[in-house]
Amino acid sequence: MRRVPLSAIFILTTLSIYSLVSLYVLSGRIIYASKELTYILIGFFITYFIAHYDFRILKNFAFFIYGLTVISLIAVIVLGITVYSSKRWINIWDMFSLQPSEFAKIALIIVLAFVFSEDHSNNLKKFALATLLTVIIAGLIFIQPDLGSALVIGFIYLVFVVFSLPLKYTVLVLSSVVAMLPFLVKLLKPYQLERFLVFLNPQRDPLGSGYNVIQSIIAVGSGRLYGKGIAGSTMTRLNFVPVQYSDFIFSAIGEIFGFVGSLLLIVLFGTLLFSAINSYRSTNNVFGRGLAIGVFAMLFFQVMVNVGMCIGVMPVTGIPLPFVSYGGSSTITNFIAIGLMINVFIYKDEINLVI
Amino acid sequence: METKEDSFLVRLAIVFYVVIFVFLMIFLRLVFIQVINRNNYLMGLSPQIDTEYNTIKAERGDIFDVNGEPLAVSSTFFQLDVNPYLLSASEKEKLIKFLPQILNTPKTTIQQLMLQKDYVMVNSSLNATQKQKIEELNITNGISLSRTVKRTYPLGNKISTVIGAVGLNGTGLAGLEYSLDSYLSGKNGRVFKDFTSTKPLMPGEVSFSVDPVKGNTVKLTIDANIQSTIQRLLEEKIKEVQAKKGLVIVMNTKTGEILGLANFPSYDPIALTGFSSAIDMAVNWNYEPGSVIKPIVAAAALEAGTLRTDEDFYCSGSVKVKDRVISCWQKHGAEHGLNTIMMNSCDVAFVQTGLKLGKENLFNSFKRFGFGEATGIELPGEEKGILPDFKNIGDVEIANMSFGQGIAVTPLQLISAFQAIANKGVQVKPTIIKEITDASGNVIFQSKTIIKQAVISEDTALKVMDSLKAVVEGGGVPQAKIPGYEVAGKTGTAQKVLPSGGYSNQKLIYSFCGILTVNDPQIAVLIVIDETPTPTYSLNITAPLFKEIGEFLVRYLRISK
Repeated sequence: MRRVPLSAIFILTTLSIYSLVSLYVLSGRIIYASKELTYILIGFFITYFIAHYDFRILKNFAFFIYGLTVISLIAVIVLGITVYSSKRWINIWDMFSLQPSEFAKIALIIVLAFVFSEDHSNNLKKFALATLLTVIIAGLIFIQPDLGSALVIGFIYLVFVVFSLPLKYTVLVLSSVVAMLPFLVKLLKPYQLERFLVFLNPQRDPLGSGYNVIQSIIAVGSGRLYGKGIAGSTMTRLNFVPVQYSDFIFSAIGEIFGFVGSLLLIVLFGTLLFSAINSYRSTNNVFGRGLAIGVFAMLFFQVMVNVGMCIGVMPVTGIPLPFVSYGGSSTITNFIAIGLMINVFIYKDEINLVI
Repeated sequence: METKEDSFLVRLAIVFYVVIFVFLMIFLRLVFIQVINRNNYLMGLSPQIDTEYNTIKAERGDIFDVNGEPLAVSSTFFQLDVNPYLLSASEKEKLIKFLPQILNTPKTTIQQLMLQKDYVMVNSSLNATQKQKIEELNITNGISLSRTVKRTYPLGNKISTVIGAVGLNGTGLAGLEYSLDSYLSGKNGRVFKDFTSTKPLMPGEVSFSVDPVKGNTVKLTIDANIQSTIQRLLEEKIKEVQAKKGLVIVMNTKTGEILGLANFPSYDPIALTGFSSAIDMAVNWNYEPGSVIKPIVAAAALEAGTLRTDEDFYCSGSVKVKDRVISCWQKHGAEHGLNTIMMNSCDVAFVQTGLKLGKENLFNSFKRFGFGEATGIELPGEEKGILPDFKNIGDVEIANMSFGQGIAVTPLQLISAFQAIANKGVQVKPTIIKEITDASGNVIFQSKTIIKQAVISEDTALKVMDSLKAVVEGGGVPQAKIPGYEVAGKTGTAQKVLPSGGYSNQKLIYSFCGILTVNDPQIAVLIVIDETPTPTYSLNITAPLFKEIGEFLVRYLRISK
């Protein structure tokens, strides 16, 4: 226990406070906040738990975890619950619902870290296997449809390729994405394309598809330097911004905590990302490095896209803000990720199995 | 040499800079929208994202007849709704006592309404005085007076097929209300209730309003008196002869202006009863006109020089064209001159005239007279009539067309052809709109007489007029005579086409087109009556109606003898 860095606990606690306060303000009731508090407490427990077992054990379970994830993603498509016309959740004994696409991010990080840490394999084989594993997961998530999570999966994969293989593979991935762009655009649903067009011109449809973004920007702007506080944040309280509890929670933060508070949040995320890179640098274990860089990629992409869309510099995609957005699956996934990251840091000095 | 480790450190550095760049971008954006430029930027966004504005409906423009008599007017009324649930017992008493007087409704009706538990509409057409009286009762809660705009049609179903009607949302459904909708609808006003970045706390504050602009006023060429009279006379005649439907058009032959256009059946423009079965036959209906087309054939033949006014004909009762025998309605024997064959309406003579004239000349004349082409009047959905395909016309087709079979025209095309004959050969575009003025009184459209073309020479026109005069005054159709005046005209009794092909001997369409007067042609009147239970000749049905209408017109329009 003593070896878990205090800074990490401080950051996670502060992020949780942001989350709880904004959830309380935007619902006006304690119910969302108290549910989220339960997830956070479970999350802290999981972080401690994971941090205490040498991550190397996971190597033995990498494909098992991956297989489980694929099965659960297929289960979503077959038995899933539909919310906002997307099938993303499965019900567990009518008690709570799980969102497997969140846990899939962790599964992918573990399996890619494993694939790239295998010694008796050449780069081409590693690349081919990693690509196949990613495409399966990303495809299953994309057809839910959940473009946001599919993009996170893709980004994690890209960062793995950048860090684990010679540079020419990165060039290959990027150029094939560009080459397939016309095809990928056709795969998008009309509303997904519309969101991108709205990003290019928010005034395209101010009362329709552009409404969220414009309302979000106004809410953030109305927070000014120090924010309007819990009582004064009327745009959040009156639900001017749709789905603010999840994808647009940063607009609530901007209104409640103002520029200073938003900046602090950004700095906290920056520190968290820096710790992930620090974990990466601290160890020579290739599997551990993979875990650290994967966690980094996942958090970085989600923060960038979520905050970016709330302030109008990124197109709207349904990606939650780590630790802040409401949702059990996503909160717990993020705590698992931090657990892995801390674990890699804690066990950095153990005997390396791989040079 | 670069080691593997070094190259990964370079990548790490690059990623690090990417992260720094992204966070810097977010930082700058936050500074921009939260600190520096926030007011200007957010102000630019907010007026357009107002979540609420209320539309103030514009009053629809009015339609008047040529003398300024209202034909379709929008008026403001007030709607009274009452919620008895919110009223105290004494207030209810008050309403039960005073409402029957103000609204002129029985007391029991109001008493019944007072038993309701929610808002009920009491009356939707209160005028301003009634509204004021209700306001004076001083009941604030549970009573609501709202402004409504209603369309009223003073002539009702007497002109509904022409004027049309509006739907519940206030847009034109049919007739001129439909075709002139963009002129009549006006511009809706708006009250903007928005919140801005400086006052996001108060959604619903009125920031500015745009007043509605009433639609344009349209003045028609229709004369309400003529319209009412011809509609009444048409309906009487149709009842008398038990016909299916009928139409009367009165047109000024010098200007092409429609003075009256009566259709039966018509419909109630408010309740819309009968709406689906009533059409404006003048433009929305094609028919094979029959003998009433003969003046056009004669004009074409005279113009081409293949017919002389003193030509001799012999009618043996039938004529053989190719392998087809065409029977005349009567055996006429020897006939001398155009006036005689027109008076006799001799099919044999006109078949011979048509064949002599030839396919090309006949077809082109029909086209010149405007058949097969919309006249361009401002009424909606105008039909074009049906001319047969030129390359399919053989001698049999020429023979048929010479007495008005195998060609379909709209009544408006037909009267337009007569207009040309009456107007010394010059055809003008028929019109029904005199003037359109906008809400502030500026004239935005003024009807002018548009000359289409000189269809035939003046000489030909006068010769045909003479033959048409012979029809009425020479004893062909004495039923159409108007005492004291010399009038011209031509009947037509057309066999209806059977759905199975061929022509019916039982189902007939009776037409008469007359011109007032021979010396100074001013008015053309077309009467079409569709199908009577027992077949007869047009002169027994349409000619007497023409006489009644003509007698009214010469008196009303003070036409000199």
